[in-house]
Amino acid sequence: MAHELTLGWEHLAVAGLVAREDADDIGLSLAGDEAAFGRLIDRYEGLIGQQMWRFTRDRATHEELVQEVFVQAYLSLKGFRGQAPFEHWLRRIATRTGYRFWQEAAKRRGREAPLDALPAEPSVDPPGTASEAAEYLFVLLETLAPQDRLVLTLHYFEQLDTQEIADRMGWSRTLVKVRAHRARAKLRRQLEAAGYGG
Amino acid sequence: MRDAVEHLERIAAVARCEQAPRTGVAAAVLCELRAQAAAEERPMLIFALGSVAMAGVFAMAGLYLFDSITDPLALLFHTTPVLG
Repeated sequence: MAHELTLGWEHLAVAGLVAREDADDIGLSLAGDEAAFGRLIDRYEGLIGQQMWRFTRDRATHEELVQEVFVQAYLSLKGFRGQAPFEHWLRRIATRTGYRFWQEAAKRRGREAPLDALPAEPSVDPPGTASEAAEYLFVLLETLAPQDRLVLTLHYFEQLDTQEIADRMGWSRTLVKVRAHRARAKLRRQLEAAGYGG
Repeated sequence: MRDAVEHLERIAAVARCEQAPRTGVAAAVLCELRAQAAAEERPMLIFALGSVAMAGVFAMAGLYLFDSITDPLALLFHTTPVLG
């Protein structure tokens, strides 16, 4: 039974859209094979962990978010059509999970976090540590509304362009451009008021 | 004065090199999925047991009625007072 179900996913691997090992493990996972889904997690956990670290700097929350991504992925697995590599589909779930986390945090806190004090501006010439730079950028972006924050996070940390961000979130490209423009304008005002970047 | 936001692009280039902490969520994910599956089965089990109980009650009532209808003297023996 499991072999027949695995064969049903072969067409995805043959089309070159989905890696053979992913296609096999997806088929087996849907048949109830826990070990197969465990292999999918092991294969993509590093990637998703890297992505979710952009949504929180707290390690416990980070682990919870990564866990949530894979739980959602399993529950949505039947809906995976193989029209793009599995990684892309998974990243979309991860982004939406992280965005939902920010939205819930914003509801509890109020729309935007006030910028009480910027952390020390990291050196770029020569460059300081990557963690200092990431922490600085994270704190700065945290002052934005979730939708604006997401656009710039995806741009700065994943180097996505407006079309890629629009595809990832199911937004229009125009909406992404408007949000990016608004977010950059706000950051510019904050940085110039604080005397940075000059 | 260089643009503040362009400055951010340079900071972002450094920030992208940061390695996220390692996680190990496989066991927790599978455990959570098992718990969700068990929680979904519980209402169905309760419904199944309830259905069996109701079926038993209706079966007993049906047997009683069947006895009453098929034995014409059953009611006579049940309701006739003792004379004397």
